[in-house]
Amino acid sequence: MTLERVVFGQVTILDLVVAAGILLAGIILAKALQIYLRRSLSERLRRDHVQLISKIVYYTTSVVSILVVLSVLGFDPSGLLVAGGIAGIVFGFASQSIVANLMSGLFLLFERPVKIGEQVNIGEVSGFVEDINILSTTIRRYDGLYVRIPNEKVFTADITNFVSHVVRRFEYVVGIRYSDNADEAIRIIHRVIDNEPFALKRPEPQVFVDNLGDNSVNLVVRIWAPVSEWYTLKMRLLWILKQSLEAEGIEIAFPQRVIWYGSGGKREEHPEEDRDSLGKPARRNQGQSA
Amino acid sequence: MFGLHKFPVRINRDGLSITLEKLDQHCLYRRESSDGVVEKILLEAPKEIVLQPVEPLNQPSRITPYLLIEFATTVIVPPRGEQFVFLRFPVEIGVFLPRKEQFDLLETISLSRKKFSLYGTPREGHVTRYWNTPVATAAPKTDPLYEGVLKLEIHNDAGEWLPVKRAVFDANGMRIFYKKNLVAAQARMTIVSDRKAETEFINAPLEKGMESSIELFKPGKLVVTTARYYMGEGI
Repeated sequence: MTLERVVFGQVTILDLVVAAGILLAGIILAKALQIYLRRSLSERLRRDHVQLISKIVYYTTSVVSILVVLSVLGFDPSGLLVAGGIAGIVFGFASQSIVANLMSGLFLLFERPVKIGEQVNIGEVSGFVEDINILSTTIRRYDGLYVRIPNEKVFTADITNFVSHVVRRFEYVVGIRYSDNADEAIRIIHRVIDNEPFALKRPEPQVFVDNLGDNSVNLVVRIWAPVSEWYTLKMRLLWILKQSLEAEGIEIAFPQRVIWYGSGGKREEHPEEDRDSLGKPARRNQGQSA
Repeated sequence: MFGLHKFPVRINRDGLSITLEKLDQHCLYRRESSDGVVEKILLEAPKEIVLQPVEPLNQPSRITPYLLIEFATTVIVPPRGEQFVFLRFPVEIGVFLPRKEQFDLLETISLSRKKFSLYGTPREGHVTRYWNTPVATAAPKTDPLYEGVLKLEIHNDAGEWLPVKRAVFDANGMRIFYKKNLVAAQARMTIVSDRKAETEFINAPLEKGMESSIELFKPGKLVVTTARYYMGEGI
């Protein structure tokens, strides 16, 4: 019988066929379980939890299949411990970076500084975490590019998680003219913020005169928003603020320079010109004065 | 306005316009309100639509199941006391398509002011729908398209007079009841200490003859929780 023919040791072709069948069945079973878990848990658990559970089940099933195959082929899995120890030393020297990535990946899976779907900055890469694998983490950058970062780098890099907390703050600087009433501008800005659903009531928004700039009175506007909504709100609100201020006669200042022309080295007195168009006391430009 | 409306539908009230009419072979749903215009084409004309008050947590988008009601006037609760006060809560209008004994949501409409707030800290707190309400000792008259009446029982288990400025609720399990001119709900707040309390909705109508609304917020099948909210960041 062909199937009874010994290939090596006591392993026959039949054993090889059975082992291949078990391995194939194990891989199919692992994949099927992974797909089933992803489908059945996707609406009940968070995406990153589903990914973690399905990966654990997949790798566990695969390892069990491999151990069964080894036993069918006559290998004693306990021997792997000894062989693995020696091979591990050799293999470890040869693949330090792979092992470092593997260990970092395991630590990342348990420490979980980032989760799948979150917006993060790792080193110099910002974007959405697409997947966290054993050896690497994949990021979808905001411009849509795929970036694979080895887990060792992820583990040692500075990580900023943009969505770890439920709310976050953003800020504008609004410069108004010196001739405008800053109290009135603050009142208008507060009213606009109050009308925005996602500009949170608490923590309270802050609007105040931050500094007296060269060309404008600078108001700082600080607003808290839910992390899921802050960027949309930030993109939209500044223009609304500008329109609302202008509708009530408060202009956004822009850089201006008043040039004084004199004669005979003496400054001519022009009382109505002592203030510039921003309402601010004008400064003489030495280089331009005659 | 709440209840069943036969096809074709034409509703006009307080700046809210809802029409459901034949459009060639299909059917056009159109809603106009202060939030803008929404149009949807239904490929088959329904026999009717149902309007009901729903949890006020769907507009502008569903980002939280928590509702924070802040009292315009602080309430001081006596030790070991059981008191009740009447508050107001925002109402949203659910437009449903009936299907046998079930209802499919077509859309939600909010006519009342929409505002959100944080309860707790940015790290461990919750984003909540925010509503400021006067406190009354009798049920106030409200426009049911905008506001509902919330009867809040306050149990003070602490041994001292305690001020209460707010109550936070989990909308999973919020039971709203309605009749022609009234939308109402009942809730309970148990004060544990000067900073901690527990809240939950009560599944009972405020008055006789009120119908129960359809719940849009329901706990998930695997989530073993009650509809209670633990207020650990101040009351």
